[in-house]
Amino acid sequence: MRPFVFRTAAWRRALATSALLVVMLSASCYRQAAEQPRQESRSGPIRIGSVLFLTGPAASYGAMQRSAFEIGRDEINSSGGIDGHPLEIIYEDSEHSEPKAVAAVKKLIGVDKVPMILEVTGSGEALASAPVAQSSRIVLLSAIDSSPKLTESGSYFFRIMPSDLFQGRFLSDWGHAMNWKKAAILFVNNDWGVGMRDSVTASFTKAGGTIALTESSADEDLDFRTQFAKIKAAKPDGVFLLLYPQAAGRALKQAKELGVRGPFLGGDALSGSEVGATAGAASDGLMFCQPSKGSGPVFDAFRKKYLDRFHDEPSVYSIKSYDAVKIAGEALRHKGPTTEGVREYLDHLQNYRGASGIISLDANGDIVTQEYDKYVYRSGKFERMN
Amino acid sequence: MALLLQFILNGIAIGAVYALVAVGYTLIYGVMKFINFAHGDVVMVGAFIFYAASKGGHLGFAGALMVAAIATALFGMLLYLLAYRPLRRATRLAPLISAIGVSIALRGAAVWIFGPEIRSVHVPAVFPSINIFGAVLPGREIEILLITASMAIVLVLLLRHSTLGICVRAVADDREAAEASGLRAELLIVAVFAAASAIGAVGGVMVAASYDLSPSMGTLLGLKAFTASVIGGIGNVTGALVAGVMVGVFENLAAGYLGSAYKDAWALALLAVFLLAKPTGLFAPAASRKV
Repeated sequence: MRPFVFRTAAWRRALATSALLVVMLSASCYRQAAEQPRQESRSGPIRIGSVLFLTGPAASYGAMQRSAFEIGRDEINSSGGIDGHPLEIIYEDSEHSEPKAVAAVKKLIGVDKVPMILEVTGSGEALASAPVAQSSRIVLLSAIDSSPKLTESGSYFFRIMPSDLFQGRFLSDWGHAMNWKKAAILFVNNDWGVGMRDSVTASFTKAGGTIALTESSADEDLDFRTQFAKIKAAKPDGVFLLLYPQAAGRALKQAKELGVRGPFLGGDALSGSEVGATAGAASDGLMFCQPSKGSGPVFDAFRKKYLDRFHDEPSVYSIKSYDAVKIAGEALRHKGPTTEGVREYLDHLQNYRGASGIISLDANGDIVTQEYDKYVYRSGKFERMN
Repeated sequence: MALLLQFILNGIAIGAVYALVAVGYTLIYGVMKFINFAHGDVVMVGAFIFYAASKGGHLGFAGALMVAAIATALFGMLLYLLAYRPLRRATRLAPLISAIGVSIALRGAAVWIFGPEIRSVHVPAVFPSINIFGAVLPGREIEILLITASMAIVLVLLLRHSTLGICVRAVADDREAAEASGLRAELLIVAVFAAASAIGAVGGVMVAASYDLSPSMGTLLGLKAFTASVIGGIGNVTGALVAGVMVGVFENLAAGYLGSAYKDAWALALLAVFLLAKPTGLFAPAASRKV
């Protein structure tokens, strides 16, 4: 009898495939073992998680937020940390993608066992992540998410950025102040864009104006020429440009080519550096509003640190992010680093004096008041108006 | 009226880009009887070579365009030799799967090298915008149309009248008979890959120059161009050129009158309709007219 040998190609291939599978399986087991939580031990750092736009079409937000978080974290740690433990932030990248944000939140809760999540950037990302946090009973404190829908995102969701209802009203008043009777809207078809569209439309029509045309675009659309052809034909007094920075840059470039003059009025997202980088001179004259940066000693101290460390003026996103990490530090100190302690602290947060001003949260976890500033683009960069 | 004209002009401009990319699908299908699903990503590679050449090389628009076309042609040849040629005796499914793998690998490589963010190239257009009965045709789009038209004419003339073109058509018609009469089909296939990739790269450069570029730009562009090559009757170069423009105009009219949020969906719905109802395309080729 012949000895059994793996003689045929088919056998050899099967053997190679199973060997590969075994290697992959053991590698994944090893990874899981390596990622087992170390949170429970009381000697190490207190770790919280953060899901930012570190790369992708709005990566400038991630950089701004992370810089602010580092300043806040260092301040917390140099003043004794959380009950003597240093605070550590685990950064995850959502790349501005909802599925990736949810996966990152699940990883932070399930694998890293964080007691709270400090920020999931992006209204869509936050809306998708809030139910996960709610069902795991983990607090999600957002620094810069603004969709009105987030107001109903459960009892574990809190935010210190005002709802877009405020911003929509402000933009609409601004349009009226410039004597716009008939306006057009170009919005990005996602949770943030729809929230802004609804809020601008409601305020603008209530004050007697008409929205002649509402055009939408997908988040990563290249081509806005169809929309601008229609906007040009509708002859509005002005256009509400409710897009993210990259898309806005692209859109303005094409609007200029097609001879659509605007004026264009947009939301806080238009402070992203991508607008000027993409549109160049075509961004000139673009106006937008942004929550006020705040003033006073907390703001001045933060601004100085930010300038010294990053050689750049802090944006409202950096300022809100700084306030959020400092509030998170207070919340974790409140009753020790437990999610219920954090929640209790945030439930009763009133008159917190932050860099962005006085922060009080209502029963829905929303900020109570907010002021806005006006900005305009000149030579590819924006400056404050009035 | 001006609005309708504007939609049509927008459609023709983007359709010209689809046409350039669609030619690649159809040429490769002609000689290999295989859909190169990585073609959209080869176009993306062309756009990034253009980006790197114009940012790093200070070559100017025409220089960077030439570099992109030549380098992408070489890249296409290499791709054929590495990913498809070894599978020429395998089942028909094998090169298709290989193409999907290549597509994922190219996108991954682009993210790895350039990062996932969208980039833009600022190249001023040579021509001024012109106004046609109230509709605007930007200078950049005039360039796209001129380049596409001249490339299309050269390509069709080459295929019809040059020895090389006749050889390619011979291989497309009946590879075995062509080889029996002494043609080296393998060499011709390599040449076709080079040509398809170079033409696609020009399309990619047009997108990069008039919009911007990202590692994922090839996916949708590839799908829409593939739609055009199906509508044109796959294997039919003239058909692909005409159908590319048709897809562009169709999607702009649909976006204009039916809703701009679903612009991409309209073009892809067209693909589904054609695959179901008329898979041979509008200009069903007589066997001898292929390629």
